[in-house]
Amino acid sequence: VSLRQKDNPLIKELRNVPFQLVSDVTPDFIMGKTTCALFLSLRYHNLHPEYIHARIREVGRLYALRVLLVQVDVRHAQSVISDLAKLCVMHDYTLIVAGSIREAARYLELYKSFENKSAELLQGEKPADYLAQLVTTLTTFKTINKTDAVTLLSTFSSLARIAKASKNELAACPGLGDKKVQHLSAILDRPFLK
Amino acid sequence: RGMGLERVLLSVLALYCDPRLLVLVINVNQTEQELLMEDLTGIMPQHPPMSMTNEQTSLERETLYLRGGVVFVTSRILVVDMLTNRLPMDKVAGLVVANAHLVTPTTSEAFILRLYRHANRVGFIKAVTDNPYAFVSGFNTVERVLRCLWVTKLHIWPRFQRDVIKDLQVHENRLAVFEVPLTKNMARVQQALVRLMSSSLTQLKKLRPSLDMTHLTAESGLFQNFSTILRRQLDGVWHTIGKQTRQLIKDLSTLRDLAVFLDQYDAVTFYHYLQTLRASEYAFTHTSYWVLLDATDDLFEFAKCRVFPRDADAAPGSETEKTDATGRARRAASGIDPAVDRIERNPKWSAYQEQIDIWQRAAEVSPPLWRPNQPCCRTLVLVRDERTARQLRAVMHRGQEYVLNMQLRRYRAWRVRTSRLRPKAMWVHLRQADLLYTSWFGFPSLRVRVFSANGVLKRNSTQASGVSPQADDDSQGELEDEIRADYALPPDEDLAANFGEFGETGFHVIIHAYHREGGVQGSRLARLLLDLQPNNVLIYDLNIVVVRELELHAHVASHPIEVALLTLDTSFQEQQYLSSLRQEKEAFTYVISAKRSMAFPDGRLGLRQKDERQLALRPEDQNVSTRQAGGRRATAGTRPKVIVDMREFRSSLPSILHEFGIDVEPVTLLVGDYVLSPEICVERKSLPDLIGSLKSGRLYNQALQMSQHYPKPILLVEIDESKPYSLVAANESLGSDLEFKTTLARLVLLTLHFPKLRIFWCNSPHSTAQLFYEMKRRGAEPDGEQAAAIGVDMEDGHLSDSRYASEPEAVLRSMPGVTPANVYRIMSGIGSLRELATASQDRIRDLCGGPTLGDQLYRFLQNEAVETSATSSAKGASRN
Repeated sequence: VSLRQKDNPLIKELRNVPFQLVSDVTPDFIMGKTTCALFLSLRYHNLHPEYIHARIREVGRLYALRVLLVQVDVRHAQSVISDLAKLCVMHDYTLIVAGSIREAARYLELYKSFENKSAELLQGEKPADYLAQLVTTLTTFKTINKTDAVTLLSTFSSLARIAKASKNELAACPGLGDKKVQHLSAILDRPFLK
Repeated sequence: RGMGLERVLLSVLALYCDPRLLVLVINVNQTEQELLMEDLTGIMPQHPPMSMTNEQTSLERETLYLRGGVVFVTSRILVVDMLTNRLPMDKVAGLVVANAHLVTPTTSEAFILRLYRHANRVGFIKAVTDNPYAFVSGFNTVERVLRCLWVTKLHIWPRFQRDVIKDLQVHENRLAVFEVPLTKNMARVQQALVRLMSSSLTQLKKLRPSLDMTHLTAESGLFQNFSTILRRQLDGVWHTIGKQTRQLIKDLSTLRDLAVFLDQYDAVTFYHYLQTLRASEYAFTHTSYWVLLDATDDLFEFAKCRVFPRDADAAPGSETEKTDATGRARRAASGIDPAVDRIERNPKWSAYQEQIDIWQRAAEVSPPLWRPNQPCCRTLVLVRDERTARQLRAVMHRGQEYVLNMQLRRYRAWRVRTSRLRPKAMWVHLRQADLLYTSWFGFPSLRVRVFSANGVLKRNSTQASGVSPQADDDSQGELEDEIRADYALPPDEDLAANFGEFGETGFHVIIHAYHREGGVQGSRLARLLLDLQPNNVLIYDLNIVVVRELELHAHVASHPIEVALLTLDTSFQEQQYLSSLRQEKEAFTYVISAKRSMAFPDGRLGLRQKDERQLALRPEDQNVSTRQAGGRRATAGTRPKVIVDMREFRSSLPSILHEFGIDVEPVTLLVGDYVLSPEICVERKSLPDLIGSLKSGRLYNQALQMSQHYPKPILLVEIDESKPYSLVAANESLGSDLEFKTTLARLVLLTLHFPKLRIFWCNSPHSTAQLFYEMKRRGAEPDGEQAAAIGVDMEDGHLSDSRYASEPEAVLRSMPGVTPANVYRIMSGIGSLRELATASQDRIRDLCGGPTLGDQLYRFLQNEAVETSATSSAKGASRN
């Protein structure tokens, strides 16, 4: 953390990662070898609109990922945020907007702790246990909710048997109305290829 | 509602069935369209109406437009055709808009109408709706809708209009109303539900003090629109709502369902449903608020009493004893459980049978002779849905006892299975719950199960009850066969088509479910009534549309109709009916007074001039600042252009972009949603979308593709107006620990992996349009063909391919063993999900491209969920 941020209430909220106040860094925060951030409170920006331009110039293109962390603490912020978005496109910054100082601090913490993380977390997750997985699959049908999924599984016990069941059998389950049954079997029968 | 709007629409459209005119019909739903097309073809066989779907190619559509006549077209296609000039605007004689209440400034219908008015000022626009309720909520809704529709006249025809009353009162038909009293336990269950609902609402109010609760009372909780009110209020902040609130809202709809089911289901099915709720509650540890309330105990207790009455409750001298002597032998022979006797009967069933008997006798004494030589008496019974219809049919053919017995057996078999379904981790909970139940439950044979310390399930042999679990399984198979046979009574889906087989003489009862595909289809009902010409109509479930439709039919019918209404006194259903009457009246009163005080948009010419001025002014306004900035390339004469993906026309942004003065070019894009310039590509995400696609991994792939093909990929995050720029709820604290599976964390990770990705945060489509406009000042205009070509040659190019049906694909993707690598192989290799679920192991191995994944998928499809808890504990030993 740059020494110039030492009075920022944000650093009181940095609880999950250790930090160090240093005087000789250009950006406000350095979260990793290639990641840095500039912090901007919109209230300050409205008073001193030229500040952020100067800071962006100072930082230059030293880091691969440069984050502009904006704390929204004024009303009707959209026009300012749009302007900042344009600025970010021009200077290749990533704009992150936070509603509160805590949220802003959380973003910084996450940037630090994700420094070397793989993208695995972004590539979709699979439910853990078998029953949950079955229920997840069933609730992918738009009209089926969790209760219905449990009803179906407890009545027919497997997906294959649900698929074999007739509409009338499905409709005999409590909670499954005509609409749900129609939809369920329509999707089961709909050809994959259009 | 139920004033025969379809007929009005039909006669209007029939006038335009002429090849010299091109009239477009928009905003009709599937069923309406089918019926209207059918009728129009009947009226005008020489010039049948046409429909446009995405199955026709653009060239085919072009020729169809040129042919003229009435054309039904979906809004999305029409927008695209209008923008690409496939539709000759000046040839369109007019537009007819159905369901006018749904048109708001941001819908594509409003976009279509605006486009149409700009290009063609003489054509007509007509709009109809039969939903006055929609205009009550919100500020100035009537005026706003009229403005979007570009119409200047408003006609209102309520049921209480003098001409309407005069017209409908010509025929006096006999109407009998039967109010069946609720049973004691039903009333108690109902009370418990009301209590639960109001305490849930109080809790909701506590959690979200900002909610406007004037429309939210336990009473209004009984109506369909209740959840809509809530959703509308919370829509903008939905993502910030805490788990607790969300759960409460879900609970409220569950409670509402229960209220409906109470009237609709028999005692056993209702109890069964309650138990299912409880089971799923435990299986997933979502502790709902209402489950912990006292009233819930009442609810379960009384619901149970209806099925298994305590001795004190079983009133002596009731039908139980009467039937005992005579019935026992017969029952023993037919295999009906003695417990059935004590189950509470659905009070409506008896009333129903009585009424039918009365009519039958009447018909035998004096057969109605409304058609010469055809002494036929038809009785139509109108019920809510297919399930009720099926059950009534079964009651009619086999008697109440039989039906209840069937339900009871189903229920018991289900209990056995459910007790096996519960996941291991839940045993502790369940044990307590089970202890609770055992005191209620009169069936020791179902609960002879002990839990050892490590949670492994063991079975005791059950000498005491004499029913072994194996026997349960056997009877299960039997039972299923029986159910199959039992419910195989013919459904009367196609009754209207082939009711001839009911014979020309005698007494016929036809049970028809009027509630279909998400609503009451007045037009279908009208058709059925006309075809059947029933002498008697019994309304088993009350509904305002049904009553209105009957009124209309009575007016046109050739013979008097006897109508009977069946209601449960003081039941939810009755209250619902009464307040829907009241609501209808209030809605109309409101609309009429709104009409009196509202400022009508002046003539279309005036509106047009104003609009043109706006469009002309826009670039000028911008020029003042842009000239100074010096970056502007487009002159005021040419409008800037944005390429928009076809699928994006469901959202309001394209319409607003166009209104703002940016031309939109519809193209099927494989990468991104909007292309601003050859360099800039935008992926638009609403917040729920963002959260969902961050979780599912979709956004990762999209970001990957965008970064590969465009130097400046942009992620546009749409935040709702007047809400804080925050991805977490204000009242839901962040928590002191770092959690990695949150949206916040995923977004951070996304920016870390795609440092080139810019993020736009916009709180309204208007500011998005402004931003787009300013972004476009630098950089060349995008090229449609080029943008469409991007991503085609990619290996993973069919990621956003529309060749595959989306919902089955989503289901398939959620299954284990299905990976992004083999999902297309599977979809091309096999027809449908049903086919997949029943395919052989070898076939699935082949489809998945290997035995590892294949077996994973096969096991997932075939394994019995009920046995998992047992097998998973013995994993490794038995499975290899």
